[in-house]
Amino acid sequence: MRHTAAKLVAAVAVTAATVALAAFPAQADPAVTPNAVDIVGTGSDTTSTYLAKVSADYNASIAGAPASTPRLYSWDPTGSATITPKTGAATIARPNGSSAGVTALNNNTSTTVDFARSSRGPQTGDTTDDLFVAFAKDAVTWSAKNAGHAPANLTTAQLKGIYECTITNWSTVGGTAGTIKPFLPQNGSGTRTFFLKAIGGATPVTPGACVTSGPQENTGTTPALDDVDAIFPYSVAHYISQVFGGHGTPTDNPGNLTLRNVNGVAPVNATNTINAPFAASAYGRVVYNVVRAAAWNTPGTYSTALKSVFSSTGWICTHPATITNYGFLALPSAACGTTTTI
Amino acid sequence: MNRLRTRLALAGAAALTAVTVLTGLTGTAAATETPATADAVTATVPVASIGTAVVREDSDFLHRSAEAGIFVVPLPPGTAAYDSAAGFSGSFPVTGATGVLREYYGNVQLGGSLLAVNVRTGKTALFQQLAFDIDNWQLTGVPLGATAPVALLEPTDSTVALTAGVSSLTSTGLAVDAEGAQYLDSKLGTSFFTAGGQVGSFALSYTQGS
Repeated sequence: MRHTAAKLVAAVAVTAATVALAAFPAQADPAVTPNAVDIVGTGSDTTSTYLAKVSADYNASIAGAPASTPRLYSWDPTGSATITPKTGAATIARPNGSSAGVTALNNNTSTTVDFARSSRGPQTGDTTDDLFVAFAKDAVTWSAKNAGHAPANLTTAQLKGIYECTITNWSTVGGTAGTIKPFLPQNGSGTRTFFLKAIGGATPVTPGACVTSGPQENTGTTPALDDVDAIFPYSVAHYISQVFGGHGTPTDNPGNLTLRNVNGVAPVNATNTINAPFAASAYGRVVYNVVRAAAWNTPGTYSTALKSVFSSTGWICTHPATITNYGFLALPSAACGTTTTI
Repeated sequence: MNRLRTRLALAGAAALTAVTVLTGLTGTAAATETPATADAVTATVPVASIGTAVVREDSDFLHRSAEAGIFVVPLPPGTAAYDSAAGFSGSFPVTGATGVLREYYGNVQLGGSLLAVNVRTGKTALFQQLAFDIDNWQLTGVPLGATAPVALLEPTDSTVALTAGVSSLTSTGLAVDAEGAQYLDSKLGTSFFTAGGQVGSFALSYTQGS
C-alpha cells in the first residue's frame, strides 16, 4: 500500500515537473555586468533560483532610480568556470555552494562580492566577521529514482549506515534487492554539510568508500543518479520549487528522483509545502544570506543598501509570498532578518 | 508644575504603589475587573531557572503609558527594575525550553506573571504561563481564567546565538502584537495599544538542552 502510494505521488511529481519545465525559462547569471556599487552575491545552489527572482523583482522596484542606487545581482552556482562579479571586481572561480560562497566573501572585498547565499548556518571554521541573516526555513531529505529499489522510508540510523557503507543492500532496509549507490553533492555544498550532520545526530558522518561525491546538488539530471539503486540528498524547498512551483528548468530539475520519508515523516505535505513536523525535526534547517558584519554594522550608504535587501524591513522579509512561492517556509515576520554568527 | 507633569507624577505614584503592592505580594489591585487573587499572583516556591528573559520598556513607552494611566509590571518570581536612562524592565526566570532559538522552532517557558493596570479605570489584565513561542517569535501569556495564550509582544531587529551551550536572543526592538493590542485595549478599557507599537527591547538567554 505504502509503495503504491509512493509511486503514485512520484508519478504526479514527474508529470508536474515536465509541465513546469515546458512553461518557465531557465535561471541565469546577471544579464548585465553589475556596476561597482551594486550588491552582488554567489554561493548556495539551494537558494539560487529564489535569489535570482528576488534580484529581478528588487531591481524592477527601483527601475527609475539613478545608476548610483545599488541594484541586486546573484550569480548562479554553475556555468563558466570563472566569473567577474561586477565592474572593477577580481575574476574569481565561480563559487558553487554555500561554503564556497562564504569563502569567496571572506577572500575578497566588496569590490568583488557583497554577500553569500547559504543553506547552512554558521559552523566551525567560519569567522565572526561573517553575519548570517536568516530569511526562511528549508529541510533536507533523501531522494531515489522513481520505481527503483529504495523503500519509501529510511530511519536516521539506516541513512547513517548507508553513508558509512555498513548498509549496502536495499533489501536490508525494506527495499528491493540491489546494491545501494550513495551519492553526495559537490564539496562546498551546504546541503551536503547539513545532511551529513543530520544523519550523524549532530556529529557529521564521514562518508565511506562506497559514497560518490560530485553530482550538482538539487539536480536529478546527472546520468549517474538515473539509477534504480541511487540515493541522493535533496533540498525539500528546492524540490517543491522545481516540481510544484514551476521553477524547474532543463538543467535544474529532479529528473526521475522523488523525495522519500525519514523516520516515518514525509517531507512534503498534501498541499505541496514543506511538512511542518519534518521542518521541526533534525532535518529542518534555516537558510541565510551572509554579509560582512562590519559592513552591516557600520552606518552609511553601504550598510543601508545591504539592509534594504536583507534586514527585517528589507525587500526579502517584506515579500514572504516570494519565499513560499519558491518552496521555503517563511519565518515569522519579526524573526526574518535575524542575524547570527559563529 | 504644569498639568501634564502633575498627571505624570500622580500616575507614577500610583504605579509605584501598584508595583510595591504587587511585588510585595501583600494584596491585590483594589479595583480589578478581573480579581487577581493571591493564589493567582503568588509564586513563593523557588523556581528552578535555566536562564533569564528581560522585557525592557524604554523611556518613551514609559512616558506615553504613564500619561495614559497604563502600567505593566512583572509579578514574582519575575522582578522589576528601573534605570533612568534605559527605562523600566521586568526579568523572568526561564523554567524550561524545547527546540532551538537559532533553528526557529520550539517554546521557552518563563516563570512569573505580567500584570497590566489602568489606574484610571481600575481595570487590570493578568497574564500567566508566560512563554516565548519560538515558532511564531512572540512573547505570549495566558490570561487569568483562560486556557489559550495571547500573543503579546514581538521582538524585532534580533540577533541570536548559540555559544557554549547557551542560546541567546538580543532584540533592540519590541513591538506590541496585534492580538495583544486588541486584548489589552479591550480588557483595560483603553485605545492605547496599537499593533506594531514599539515598547522597548528584549533579551533572552538559557542553557540549551536543560
